[in-house]
Amino acid sequence: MDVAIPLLLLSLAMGGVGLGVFLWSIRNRQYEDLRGDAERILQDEPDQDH
Amino acid sequence: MNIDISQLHHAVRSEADGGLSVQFSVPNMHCGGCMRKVERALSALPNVSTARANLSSRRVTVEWRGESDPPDIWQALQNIGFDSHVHVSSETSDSDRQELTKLLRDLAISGFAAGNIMMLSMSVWYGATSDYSALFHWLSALLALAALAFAGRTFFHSAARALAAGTTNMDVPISVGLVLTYAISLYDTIAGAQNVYFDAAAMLLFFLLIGRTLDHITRSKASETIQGLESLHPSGVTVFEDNGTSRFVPLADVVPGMTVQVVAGERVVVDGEVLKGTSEVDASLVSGESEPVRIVPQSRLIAGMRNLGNPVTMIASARAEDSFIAQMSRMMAIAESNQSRFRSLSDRIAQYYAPVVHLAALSALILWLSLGSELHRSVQVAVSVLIITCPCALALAVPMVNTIASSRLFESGVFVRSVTALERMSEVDTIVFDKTGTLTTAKPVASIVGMADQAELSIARQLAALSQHPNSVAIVDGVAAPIVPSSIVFGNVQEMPGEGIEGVHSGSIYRLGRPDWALHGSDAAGRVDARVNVVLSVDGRLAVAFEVSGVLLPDARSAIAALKERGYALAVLSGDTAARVEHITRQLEIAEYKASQTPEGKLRFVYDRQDNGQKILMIGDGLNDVPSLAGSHVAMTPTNAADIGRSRADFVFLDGRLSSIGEALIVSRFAQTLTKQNIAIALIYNLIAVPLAFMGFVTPLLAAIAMSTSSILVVLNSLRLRWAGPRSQCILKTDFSSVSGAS
Repeated sequence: MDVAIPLLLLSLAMGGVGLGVFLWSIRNRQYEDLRGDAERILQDEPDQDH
Repeated sequence: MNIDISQLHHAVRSEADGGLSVQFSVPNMHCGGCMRKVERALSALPNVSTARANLSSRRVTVEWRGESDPPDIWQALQNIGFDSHVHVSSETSDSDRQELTKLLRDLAISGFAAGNIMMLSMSVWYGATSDYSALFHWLSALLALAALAFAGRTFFHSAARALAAGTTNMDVPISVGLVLTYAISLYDTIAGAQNVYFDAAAMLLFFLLIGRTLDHITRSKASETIQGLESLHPSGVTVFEDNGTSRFVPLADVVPGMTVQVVAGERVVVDGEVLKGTSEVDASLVSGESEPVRIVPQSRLIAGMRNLGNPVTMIASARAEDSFIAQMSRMMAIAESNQSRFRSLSDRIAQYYAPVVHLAALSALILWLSLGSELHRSVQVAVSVLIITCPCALALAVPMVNTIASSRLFESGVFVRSVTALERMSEVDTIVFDKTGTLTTAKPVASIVGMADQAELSIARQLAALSQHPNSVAIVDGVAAPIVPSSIVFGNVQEMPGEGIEGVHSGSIYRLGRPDWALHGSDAAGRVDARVNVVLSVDGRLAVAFEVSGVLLPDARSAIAALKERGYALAVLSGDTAARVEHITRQLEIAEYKASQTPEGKLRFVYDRQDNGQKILMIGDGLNDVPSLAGSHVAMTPTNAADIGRSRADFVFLDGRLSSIGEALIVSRFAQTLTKQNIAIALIYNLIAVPLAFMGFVTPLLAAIAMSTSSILVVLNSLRLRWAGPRSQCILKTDFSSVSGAS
């Protein structure tokens, strides 16, 4: 019981971090142009800023 | 078409770093290569600091240093072969984006809660000791509360609105189910029971939100794309005052009696008549007739005509809102109101859904109570009925298919504008085409009729080179003539508006133009083929006869043949003359056609057919097609169509790609089949699960398995649309640059 509780909290916290990162990425507009970003990584020339 | 400066200023936004930015919509930007080309070309413009393309929405945002004029983005894109329009983002598109952000956030929260509750529940189901299971239940209760509080609001709000309005919708049973499930689970947790349904509540929310989000993406994408395509109305005209000065007035302020200037190349914006000047107008958007019409003082001008020749002045006879365009939109509104409102399959199901579900849960409660069960157990059974019938699979069945179908069509250059369009498209059995601009090019192409002497052909070409008239340009571009050793120098060159061009060379008078003018006084005038509209004459003698008209789009023949093979009835309705329409329909082997049709005539044709039970897909681009577009079962327009028609069409396809009509039909039919299969899957699942729930056999584990299995089946089934059939590739501009006229 005593081992399980910190582990449980740890797993929830880790999940929570994942959730937080996802929420951040939505707010940071990481999903605006999925097709364009997929093409961009294939291009040789260095990207402009952003 | 060019970019209206005032509209451009309207679209400009200030950026945080002091620069200015504007968005352009580039519908033909299809692949990484296109994106790169666009960005490179725009970054090279003076003063531009960044140019960032978005391939998903086919838009490019250009930022430039403030205090300087906007760079000529339109021209730069035109130079590398891309059509573009200024994108004015409206309030609706902003609120759409906010709504999507909210839905994604709710989706993440409910997914997180559902996943963790499932993990906790699993250990309970597999026999955790009772003090562990109590802890797990309390943790689950906490997570589920968070999910309900954040992610459940969408459903609670919608249900509350429906109840306040005295109606019921899908969200009412969902909300009732969620709240009851949570309440009874909380009660059981406090009482220390083994079976609680927190996982079911969280998972329900998660699945339902997926459906909701997909639905939202499809809808907002449809409205956004079209907004981007909408080309811009001229916002004003130059009028002449009595004292001879001129000023620029907004379109809405033009009143009858004003003297308005019509610049060469521009469209007429109000109805009226010519005051000064002679010219020719392209009336194809108004009447469907491809032949330019000669105008002289007192000729009638109709809004939508385009001035091809010299600048003229006109007297307005109507306000802009009373002009031809406005009359068409009134006819369109009437046609729309006559059309019985289409009820989609999912609407029809939703109508019965809520009452049936509530009745089932209520009868389960009464049944168990009357069989002598205690209240708690009876409520538990009723709640399990609610959980089982919650429309997870049903909520995914339609949006999943619609999303995949419209994104697939988007990739092949077809934009789906309305949510029920796919369903209506799948019912179509008759396709009616407009001719000019739809089956044929809007820009004329010259061809020689009969025999022609090579030397005279060369003379025709050189005479044509002296004029800017569209027919002359077509002859210069389209007629291959041998190079004559030395260029002929014409003397006494005269261009007669509406007639042709005349020149003198080595004692002979050469005329290139309308047959009756060029062959004036000659007996040959009455004997030329009806299709011939331009001739070269030498001293009145017929030398070369040309047909200068819109020609069939390159893929028309194959596209039409494919449609015929698949069993669709085809017809052509045109405002053009019988000879021209017949010429086109014969090439396409379309038996049914009607020439010289008025807008009313076209609409009547569509009505007659639909009264006989035919479902008509109308495809047209002109103003004269607008009423029939509105009156038909489904409407489709090319991107260069009149704005008003495009705003009412259910599908918009890239100019000159008639093959996309067949693609839209195939995808719609397949989508409809998949939708029906999905609904069947959801219903079969209910048929099996509801009796079990009635008998009280549905444990939380069983509910979880049943719900997720049916939802996953529906999703996998929908994905078949993605993988089936040929995939479209990047469409290079060269494929249709030759046919995208009128711009």
